[in-house]
Amino acid sequence: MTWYHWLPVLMIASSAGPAVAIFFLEEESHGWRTLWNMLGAVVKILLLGVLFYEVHLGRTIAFHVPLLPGLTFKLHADALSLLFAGLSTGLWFLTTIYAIGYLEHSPHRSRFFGFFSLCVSTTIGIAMAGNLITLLIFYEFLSLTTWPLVVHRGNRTSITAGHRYLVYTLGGGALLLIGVVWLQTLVGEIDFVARGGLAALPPETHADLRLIFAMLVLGFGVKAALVPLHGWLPHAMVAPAPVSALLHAVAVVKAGAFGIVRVVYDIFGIEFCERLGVLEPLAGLAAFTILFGSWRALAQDDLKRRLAYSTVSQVSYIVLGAAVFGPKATIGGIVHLVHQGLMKITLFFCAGNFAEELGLHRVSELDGVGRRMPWTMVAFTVGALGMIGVPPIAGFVSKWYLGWGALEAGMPWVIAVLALSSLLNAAYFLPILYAGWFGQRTTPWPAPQGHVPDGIVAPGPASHRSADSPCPRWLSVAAGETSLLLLAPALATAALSLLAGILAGSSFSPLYWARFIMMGEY
Amino acid sequence: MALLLVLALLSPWAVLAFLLASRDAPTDEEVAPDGPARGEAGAGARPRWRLLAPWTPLPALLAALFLPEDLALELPWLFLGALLRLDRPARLFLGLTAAVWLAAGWYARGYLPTTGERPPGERRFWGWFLATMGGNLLLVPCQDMVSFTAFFTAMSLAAYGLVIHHPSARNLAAGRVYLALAILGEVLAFAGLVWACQVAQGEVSFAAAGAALAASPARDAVLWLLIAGFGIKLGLVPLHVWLPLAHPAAPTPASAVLSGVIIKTGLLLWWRVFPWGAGALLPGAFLVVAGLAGTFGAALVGLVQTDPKALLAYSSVSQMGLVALMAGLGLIADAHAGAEIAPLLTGLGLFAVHHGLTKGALFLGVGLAQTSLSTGGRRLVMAGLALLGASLAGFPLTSGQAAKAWLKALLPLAGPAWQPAFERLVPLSGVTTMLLLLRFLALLPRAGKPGAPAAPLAMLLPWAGLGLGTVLLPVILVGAGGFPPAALGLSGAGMAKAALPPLAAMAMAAFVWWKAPAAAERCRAGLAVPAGDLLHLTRFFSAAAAVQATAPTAPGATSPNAGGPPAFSLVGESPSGEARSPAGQEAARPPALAWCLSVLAGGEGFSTGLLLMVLLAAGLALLL
Repeated sequence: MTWYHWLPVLMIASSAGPAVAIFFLEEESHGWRTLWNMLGAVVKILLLGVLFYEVHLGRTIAFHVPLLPGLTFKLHADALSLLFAGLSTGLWFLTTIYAIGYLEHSPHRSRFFGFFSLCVSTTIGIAMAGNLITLLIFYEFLSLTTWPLVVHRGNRTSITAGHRYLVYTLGGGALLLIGVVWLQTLVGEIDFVARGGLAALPPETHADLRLIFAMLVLGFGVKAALVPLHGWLPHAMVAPAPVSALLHAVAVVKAGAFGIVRVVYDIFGIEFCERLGVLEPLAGLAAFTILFGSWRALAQDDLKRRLAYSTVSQVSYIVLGAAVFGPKATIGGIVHLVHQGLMKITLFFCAGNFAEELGLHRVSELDGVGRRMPWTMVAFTVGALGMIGVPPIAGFVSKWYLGWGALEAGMPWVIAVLALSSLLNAAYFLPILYAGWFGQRTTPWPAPQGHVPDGIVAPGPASHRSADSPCPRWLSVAAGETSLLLLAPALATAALSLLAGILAGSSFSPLYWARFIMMGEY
Repeated sequence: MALLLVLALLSPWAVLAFLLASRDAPTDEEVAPDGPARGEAGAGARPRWRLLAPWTPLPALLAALFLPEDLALELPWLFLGALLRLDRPARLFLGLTAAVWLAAGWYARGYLPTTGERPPGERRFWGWFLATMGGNLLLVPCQDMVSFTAFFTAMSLAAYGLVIHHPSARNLAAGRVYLALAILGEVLAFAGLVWACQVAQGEVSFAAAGAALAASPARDAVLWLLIAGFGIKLGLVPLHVWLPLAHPAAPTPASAVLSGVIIKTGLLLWWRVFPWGAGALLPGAFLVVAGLAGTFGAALVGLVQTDPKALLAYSSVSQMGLVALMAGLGLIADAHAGAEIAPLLTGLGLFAVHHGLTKGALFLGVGLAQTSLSTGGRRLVMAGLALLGASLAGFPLTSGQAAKAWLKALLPLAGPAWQPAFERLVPLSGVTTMLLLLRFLALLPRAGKPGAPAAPLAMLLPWAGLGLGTVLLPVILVGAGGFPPAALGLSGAGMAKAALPPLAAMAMAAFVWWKAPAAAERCRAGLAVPAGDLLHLTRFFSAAAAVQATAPTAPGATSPNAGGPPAFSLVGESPSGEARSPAGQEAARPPALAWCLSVLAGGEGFSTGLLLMVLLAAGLALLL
């Protein structure tokens, strides 16, 4: 084993290490905490660059450690894992910046950032897992490391929500465990290989395999928020904004969707799934989830809950892409993993900014917010239009490929689902945009919410950050509407969602990488 | 060369960037009510964008005129592989689009101050205006589906900002209808285009898609989606309901571009992607029927409007009905059986240019008539508008005559069984159009509003420029070659034929005006279909349902301003055509109700009107 077989391990360690260090930091040592966070993020980005280069040349980098006889802990970097790892790494970097700005005056920051980094480490572990057992281990770890983030606020609602979250995810994890063990007894150890490794099994095992498929998909489906397993997600919105952003865009729901993609492509193999006849029910479930999530989002007045139901709907696009047999649908589903992440994290950043700066939590309070916070609203607009599928934003590219793939597979009803979902998306996003840009606010804006210590009355947005803020003063005032630490990540992800669509045809786009992944799977 | 084209097309976005970056504009709070008028501010104080903005479409116009034909640019990294080419239709549409935008831009410069606008509103208007223009100019040379839809969407969404520029309750309701239909159109168009792309084995270029569609079993399904998706933009009946609401709502220069060029973008897409001459019977027949319904139905509904801009919008629906009719014939025709499609495409382009210039100028004229003009000036404007109306009706020596003569020569595409019927119906549309435009002239104010400012040259010149276009178009066409005068109806017999329908309409109007003005007014009042016709039908039914469900609650009482209602309600509050009545919200139901009831019960005005119409139609049929 040479040094570069350790690269996947280093990928995980580059955030797990800072996590441990941060746990031991004093609450007030902003500087060190920021340094550790940023160091981890930058190292991880560099490592990722090396991995992308290697994998693009066609190499697969793997790392094995035997755990028990017949059980190996295996990490590897293939094209699909890099897609997810790349998304997690990039968005972790931006979310860390955001979280520093967001939580700068709240208690328990060391605990928060420690678990935050651990959560990203486990996500990278899920991305890099080389076999089902390793994936399962990291998947269970993810449930445990995100729980402290969900209940971070420590009040009654967040404890209840955390409880609900644990029940759902541990239940899903148990189902997954049974499925994995059953499969293990049938075929022994299961590595992730392109086109899957089960196609050679004798026909009499097919009934068992169908059941196992269902258990694995439902186990992952809890985190992917497939209806009817989505109940935890809207409640988990009590978490602080950076957590919601990362949970929705990257860590949790994406881990579920990624798991389903792995099961379909790299365990069973899409062609074998097609022969087993398990794809149609999965497609049906995904389509139902897409429409149901959008439908429920319509009725939510709480902005974060509306976004949560939107996530329920959008993540199922990925599942739908996996469930439609054909290379184009594969591309559409896989690329949506990245596109949805970029767009949804933008929306959550913006929702966090509205809440943090002006205390706005409800859609009905957003009238005229575009005048007060134009740049945040610009980012929100890009994200929302992208979700609707307006070209040239990233969401359009996903829908184009999904629609194309569905037609190739002879499933034109999927087009109707996509169209209906776009209409519903428009119906719940456009009123927000309308209120923000064209609405008229009649009462003055509330004083900026930032965690201003009692007794200091902030006269205006420019000077509400107190003097002991860990970031330099110019960062707080440069943007005028809110702290630059909160604004810049939102603008960056908005710009990335736009670029992912505009430059879709170039070789730097998520679409290019998704095509590269697809080549391996057919 | 290709770079020049791109730079020319990007100019609106560049100016928009200037506008957004400029910090000069005082915000709402800073504007003193008695601040200096714009004219006194002096050129030195003007920010750069305000100097540049009216000139923005000029580079595109020059590109259309002077760049070499078939200039192509392939950008595989852009979208899903973009392809821009300045082929002949692109040049034609680019020229038209840039010309109308140029005129509207200059007009807006004179128009905005006269309506009491102050810089903040002006800035907002120009922001949306430039964004809409940016989408519209860029989509013209796009030869692939993805870049076309991207710019098409930018144009559609930005135009919403123009529709609700004056955010009154009525305009907001109009904006909601516009936006709902625009989004519906986007979604249908998306489905149709993806399907076309799949049929073409993943090729996104229009040429590949059109060719693949012609032979595909999915042809009709794709056609239905494209007809509906882009028919919304074109004002195809029954998806036209946004036009008569949005056109009056938008500021006048914006109405001119909406009706002059934006609705033509739907036609451009059809032109590029339809499998012409593939013998697609059902979709083609639908287009023919919808086109006929639009041509005549919209003209009749337009006759009872009281707002000149709503009337012009109905006239646009009616004229686009002719386009849909011809497009339908082109779809039904079978190229394998020897049907010639190329002249049809030329004719559609000709008609688009004619209608774009004429309708743009007509809309600009509405704003002119509202200013205070000298008696001579008003006479001039009225005469000009009469000429434009005559052109729309196909009066001899106008662009309308040229375009219609060209299209009429193509009616044999309908086949020998149907050809005679169409040859009677199409001239009849000249009669209805002329009647409509005469009513339009009657609706224009006889004098400016008291205290209205004088019409600045910036408003008069663009109007006159577009108007001259409609007169000179036949001359240019013949002069430029490729168009024999006889094919444009420029012969003695052709002119006599072309003059007959408008003259008949004038005679009819004169008769009604002299002998039975009271009966005509009764008939109009009885038939008062509010602008947005079919929408009121659904509103009537939903209102009735609401009344049954909850008797005490006033139906349709949801306010559009009340902080983002959770659902995006299409059926909100009244975009009533009777918006002049001060009753406001309460007026929402009565006109629709009265209309439905009068239809059901056959009120006096209604039966008189119906009788009159039937008699007129019968007389005309005999005459022709």
